[in-house]
Amino acid sequence: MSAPTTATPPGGVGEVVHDAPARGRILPRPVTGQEVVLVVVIAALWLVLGLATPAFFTSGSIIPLLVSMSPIALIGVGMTIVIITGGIDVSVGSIVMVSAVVTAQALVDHGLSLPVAVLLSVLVGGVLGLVNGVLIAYGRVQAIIITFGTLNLFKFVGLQFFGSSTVEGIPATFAFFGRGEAGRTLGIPHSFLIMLVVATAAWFYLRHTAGGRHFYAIGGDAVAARLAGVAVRRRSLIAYVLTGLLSGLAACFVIAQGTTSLAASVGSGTELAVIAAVVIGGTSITGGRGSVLGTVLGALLVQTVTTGVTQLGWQSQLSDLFVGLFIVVAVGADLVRQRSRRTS
Amino acid sequence: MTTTTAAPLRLEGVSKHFGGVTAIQRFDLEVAPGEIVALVGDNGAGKSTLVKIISGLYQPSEGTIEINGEQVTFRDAADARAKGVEVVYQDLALVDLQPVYMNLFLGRELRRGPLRVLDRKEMARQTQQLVEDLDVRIPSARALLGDLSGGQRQGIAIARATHWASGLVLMDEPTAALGVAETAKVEEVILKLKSRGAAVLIVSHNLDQVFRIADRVTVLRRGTQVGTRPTAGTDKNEVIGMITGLSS
Repeated sequence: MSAPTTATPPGGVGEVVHDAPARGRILPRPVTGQEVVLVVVIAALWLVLGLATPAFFTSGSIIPLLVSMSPIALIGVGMTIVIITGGIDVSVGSIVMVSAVVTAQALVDHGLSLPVAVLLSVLVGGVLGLVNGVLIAYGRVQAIIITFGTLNLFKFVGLQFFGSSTVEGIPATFAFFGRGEAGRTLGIPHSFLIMLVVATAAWFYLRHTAGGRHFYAIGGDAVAARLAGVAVRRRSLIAYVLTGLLSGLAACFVIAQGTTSLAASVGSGTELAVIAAVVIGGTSITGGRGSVLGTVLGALLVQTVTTGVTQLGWQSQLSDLFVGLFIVVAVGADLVRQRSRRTS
Repeated sequence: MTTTTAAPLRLEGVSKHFGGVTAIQRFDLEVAPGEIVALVGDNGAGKSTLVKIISGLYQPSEGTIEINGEQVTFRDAADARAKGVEVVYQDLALVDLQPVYMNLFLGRELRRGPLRVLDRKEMARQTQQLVEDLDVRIPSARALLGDLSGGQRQGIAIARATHWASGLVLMDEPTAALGVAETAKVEEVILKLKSRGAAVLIVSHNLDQVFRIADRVTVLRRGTQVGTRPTAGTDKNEVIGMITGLSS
């Protein structure tokens, strides 16, 4: 670095050893308070469930849990980035539906191999994400309005593929992602492992690269980011395309979880589960702050609650109640943090 | 400093029209190294338009801009930045949720290693050095920007401009939102900048401030340059007369 400003060292600065770096922390901290809380809550729930229902700590219970949470957490990785930029994508459920129906139909009609089918699904998701991204980044319309529109639009497109029936006779190509024996290595579901790899890469990218930090800067103050030379529109576009690609991959997991048929209801409500996981994970809904680790933990918590309610034999609406409570608590914690910052 | 004789900023006959409206009419100005020139004028006189022209956000309709003796045409703010023109904006253009050092390096982050990983340690070190040089008192280079006071934040905005400027710093109302003590602090930082040889063009509504820190003052009235005076050779009444067009 040829710093042009080193010519005049002002009086007596020399080697001032400041104690500030010792006190200061490398922000953002690798693990936030919210993530610690989540780990504790999840551990407590697992303990309680383990004591209440002996069946909980068997592979017959844990593996479906991990398989079920994987698509939510996977899409959550993209959604986290979108929400960090101050946006939102409520169309992910419809993206999953379109990707799933196109891919399932292609499996039935053409008997695609696994890699080709995955590629197809991911590409379909990416194209739909691109539609969102272009409209939001270059059309400068509120993300929630755009994606609410594309939610319905994509749904319509998906329903045309279904043609008022279901896709039947899907071959077992995606068993690799399923909960059966073929979907596991060393007892761990492949879908879960893939989700972990994606989440780890995203974590590294967000935390340790300039491009990753720019997402946070955009959510913190888009104008300031633009004036500082951040490519705001390109970054937003990337966030939505990435979410689309991951939704396409998640669609493969969703097909693998089902039977040999696929109904038109596939993917519906996914957006709510994903946003719940992201928010519970501590990502600020107003942008500028958040983490992928939190989202993965959030997805695990939501799935634990759902599984737990089922296993305890309680009525299933109770899981909605609990997830709702977690969201309220998480958003409340975020608000308290923001207010205490403003008044400090 | 590599500056020899070329002025960090030279404007010649710069005009700007928006449709049929003339926002700036034939504006000439030269700012020397180590000089602070104040740009004053009433609301709507064209001060901000001029700053936006020099910082690349607007393109002049006519006239030439020279930076360090080189004639330039900026297509956007990034072009101007590349030529060493730095701007301290009125609304700061800083991100509250990011630490001080990330704000300083936003868009120009230092990276290391094959993975181009952020070099936080080096960014924080350089930031610490810079704020100490400029005597901006902040708790730490790693503090969150949102936790700083208005004066500290303005100090950071100026420090960022200083760090990247290779000669010219533009300031648009840098103390408009600050209290008395914080304004004094920021003025100290601006004078420090001058003593390091930077050319400063500052937009200010505060004539007391103009006479405290500026070497020369140039007045705009409805887009027309009324005149330029050395602050030592004029007084507030004359400048007010020039701003309003009424002789007192």
